[in-house]
Amino acid sequence: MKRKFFLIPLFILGFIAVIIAQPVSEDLPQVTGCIALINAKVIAAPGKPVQVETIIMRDGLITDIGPRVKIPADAYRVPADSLYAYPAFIDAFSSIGVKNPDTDAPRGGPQGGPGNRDRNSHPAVDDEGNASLEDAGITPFRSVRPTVDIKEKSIADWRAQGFAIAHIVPKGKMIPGKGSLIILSGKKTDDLFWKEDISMFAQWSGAGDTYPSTVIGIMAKWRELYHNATQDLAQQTSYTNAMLVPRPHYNQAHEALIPVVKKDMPVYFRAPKVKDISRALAMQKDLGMKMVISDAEEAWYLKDQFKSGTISLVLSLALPEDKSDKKKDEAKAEEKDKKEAKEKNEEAMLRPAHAQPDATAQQPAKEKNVDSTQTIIKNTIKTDPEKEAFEKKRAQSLKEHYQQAGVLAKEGIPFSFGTLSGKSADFTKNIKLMMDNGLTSDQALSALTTQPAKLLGIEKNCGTIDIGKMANVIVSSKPIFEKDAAIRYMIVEGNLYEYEVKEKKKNSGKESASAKGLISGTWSYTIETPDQKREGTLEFTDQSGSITGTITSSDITSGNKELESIVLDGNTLAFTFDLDMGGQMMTLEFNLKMNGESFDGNVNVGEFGSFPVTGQRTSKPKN
Amino acid sequence: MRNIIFLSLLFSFHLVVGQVPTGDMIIRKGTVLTITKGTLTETDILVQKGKISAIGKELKAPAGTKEIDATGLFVMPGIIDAHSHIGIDAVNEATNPITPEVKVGDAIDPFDMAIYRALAGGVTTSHAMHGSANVIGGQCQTIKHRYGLMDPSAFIFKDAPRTLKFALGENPIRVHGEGRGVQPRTRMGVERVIRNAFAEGQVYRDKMKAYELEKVKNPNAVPPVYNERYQTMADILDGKIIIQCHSYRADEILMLMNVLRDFGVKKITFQHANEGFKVAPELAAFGAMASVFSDWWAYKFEVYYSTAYNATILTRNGVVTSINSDSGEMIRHLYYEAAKTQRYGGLSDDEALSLITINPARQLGIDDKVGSIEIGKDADIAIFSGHPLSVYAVPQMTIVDGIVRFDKENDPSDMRIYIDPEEATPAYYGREEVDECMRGTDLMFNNRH
Repeated sequence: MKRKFFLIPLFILGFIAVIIAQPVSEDLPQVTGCIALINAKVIAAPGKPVQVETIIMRDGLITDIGPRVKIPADAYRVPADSLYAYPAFIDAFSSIGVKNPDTDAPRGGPQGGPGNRDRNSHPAVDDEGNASLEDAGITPFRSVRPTVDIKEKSIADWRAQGFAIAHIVPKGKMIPGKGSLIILSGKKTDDLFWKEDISMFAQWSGAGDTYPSTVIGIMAKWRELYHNATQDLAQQTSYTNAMLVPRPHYNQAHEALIPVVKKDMPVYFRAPKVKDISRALAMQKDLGMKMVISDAEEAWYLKDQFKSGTISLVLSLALPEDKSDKKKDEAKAEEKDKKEAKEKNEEAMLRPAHAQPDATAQQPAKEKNVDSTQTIIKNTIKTDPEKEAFEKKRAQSLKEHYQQAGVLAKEGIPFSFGTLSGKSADFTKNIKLMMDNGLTSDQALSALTTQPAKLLGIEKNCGTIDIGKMANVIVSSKPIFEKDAAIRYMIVEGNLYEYEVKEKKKNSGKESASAKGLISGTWSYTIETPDQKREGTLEFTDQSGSITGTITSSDITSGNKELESIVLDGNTLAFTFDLDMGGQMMTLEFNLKMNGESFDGNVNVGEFGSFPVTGQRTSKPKN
Repeated sequence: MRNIIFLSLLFSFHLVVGQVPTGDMIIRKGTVLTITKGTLTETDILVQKGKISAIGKELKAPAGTKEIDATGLFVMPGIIDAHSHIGIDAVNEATNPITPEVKVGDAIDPFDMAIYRALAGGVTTSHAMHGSANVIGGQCQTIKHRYGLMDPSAFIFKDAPRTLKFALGENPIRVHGEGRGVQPRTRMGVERVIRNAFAEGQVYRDKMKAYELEKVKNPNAVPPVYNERYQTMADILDGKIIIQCHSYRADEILMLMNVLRDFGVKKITFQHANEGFKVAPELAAFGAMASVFSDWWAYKFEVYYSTAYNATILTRNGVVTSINSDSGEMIRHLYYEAAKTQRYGGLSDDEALSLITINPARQLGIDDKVGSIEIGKDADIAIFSGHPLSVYAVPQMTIVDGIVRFDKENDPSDMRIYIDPEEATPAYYGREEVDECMRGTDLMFNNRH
């Protein structure tokens, strides 16, 4: 029987360039308040042409810009020839810098939740249905400020992605509280804050075992709160203006919602899914607050409702993942086909010809080859049309999610991006995915600069590179959304952050020198199966980058002793070996970790399972 | 008939909010079971703008009107389910024994496949109810099965009266008394909770009335703090809401009628009412209605005792009675459930079919719009291959507001509108949907009973 060897040449090297961005000057104090970004290719605003200009920034402001501006003597000079400068990004909706709530903190209500309550004890509070505002998750009076910490990693992470400004909201349940505007730069937490309490944050998050726990409870509670805040506002007005009016009653939650009722404060309603959005829109229609649908992942379904412009929109930077088995299947398919073909082949050999499972297998077993067994397999694996249709629909849905931004932009619906549900590591990938699905780079840039600036009412200060604007600039090695573009500098309100781009040589772990040292020679091994220890020796030789190996054991009395599919990656070694067990062929798959003079790992023996293997080197090769 | 659904769905996707699509059609030569006006053979029904505009032989229709050939088929009013939990995402706000302020209509799920399944059983309207975890649960929502629309509000049955769930017996006792250590712990407690809530409603109503009077004289009058919960109780007292009460035992049914008498509340339908037959004359005297299962009982202690003759006995005693599903599965074959009353009790065809058409419509206060085939009513129609009370009958087509929403000839295996791109397996792959009274209450139990 002829066998193929899958020998992996070990000298395929390829120095894969990996770009690693590293902030290098985080803790260094700024020497001067003036920076000159010299001869950068400047894109001053979305849609503006590229112009080679020098930008002068002083005390956190852009003070001059042009092709031939005078560079002040005290300026820290940043040569930017061949680099690109963009207005830094503004995050319309996020929790950058916000700590996770202390989950260990004792709750105000009865302990332990109703499920664990001792039936014989009488709770101090009558029931969760009449819980405190805090327990109910109704804290519109709360500001995000006390939960922000300069030490939060998210600040540097998102800054490294190009963000200079963020609208951040507190964590919590139904109405967690008020959002603030922060600048992603500073030495202490207070440095971050620009505008406090600019928004009200709301979401469809119930209070668990406490009222309101469901979307219907939340909706009812909103109606009541809004009604009462409206009533309180009217009372306060008449108390101020008229005589003999009793002093208005005070309720912390109602009081905090008065700016919402007056439409001075927008409600950022977190509504990722289409039903979340339609319910939030229904609430807006019912109560009339100024609403920003936020963290939206499925807004295109309801795009007509955003056309009038009454409702603003912040899209999520999170995108659904392709969880279909297709990719995995494709990768596995070949391997599996091969393996099954082999198994079938072996099975077929063991079975008398008259017992063959189908017509194509009627030919004499000895004449069988891999090709014919593959035909058998293809004929016997039934495709499930229902599942196929399902996968098709899912792929379509996935595509629609990726197309959201592009579709809305095409419809002329303004939107910003928010990072609340996004991961900084996925930012570039996801923006590119959206751009591959219809979003233009200008549209992407405006959703990250001018649109959020407008939404947050800071367009006078932020969003473009212009004289008088805050010195928030991204300096990138290539046009910002292009492949392999890397941020070289971030300037956040005049503070410079440098990101070192170094090309790291990543070896593929298959260098011959180490390979030789690592595995060449003779090894003893021990496989521990439940009933007994099986021992033997392995011998590897390395010739011009090709590793070959053989196995010897008292168990192996006949057949091939050559190892197959030998792959050495770093210090992990994998190979297979076909064992003839009294007429039955078994494939043993070894996965070993090489620790110098010894190894450990496991061996997979088909349906019998996986067993531990250990071994030692008994002799080195003779050079 | 092919592609009608497809086209109607396509049309619906781009619907402007607030509008509900209606259609024109003429259904030719069917055996029309009007329910209220007898059975008409080889009769045409003309539908214009979603309403039945003419019924008769060889009717003339405006040129271009869609024709549906019902020769040899049976045409009946769309079936109405007086008790279900399909098409909503939240069933129980089980955190308080009294939550009349919550509305399941705020949680309509336009993508619930159960709506389409219901259509496949000829059901055009259902009463999406709050669950039975609380003594006074939330407000229910009568919905039309306009499957294919994205906008939740498009499912709302326009101008249907407000209805509200009450629940007696073991469920609220289990959730609140046993589960949360609060009243009610017994059936006595259930009564007390209801009386207290009504009393609070009265106090609140009095305060509001006093304020309204004061406001006429004094523009600076101070309103009471708004309380949606007691405002809703006041609305019940004022007869603006029909109570739909989950109940099983005769004693608790009598108890609630006594409470309602004390507070002057008249509008009530008892749901389940498995022992309703024991107090049928009392129900009739009160003017209370009953919506029952055909033959389902003994699934827990308080429903130990019932009979498949329940619907018949109630009907014969003059109680407006319906048969409901309380299930996303049983809703598909309510016509079988109705037929059981012919085996157990010998109801006539019209009486049996009334249990799933005009009677539930009366209980929901929508009998002026649906529940029978009459000129001026909504064109909600189910077409069957045979007589719907025959076990051999198969629903062929279901029409809502003159639009075909189910067509057996064009019934793709996957009718989902919304697809979660990260869903591991399709919703119809072995996942059991539970659309029932106690949905969402697991959290509240010490242990399941």
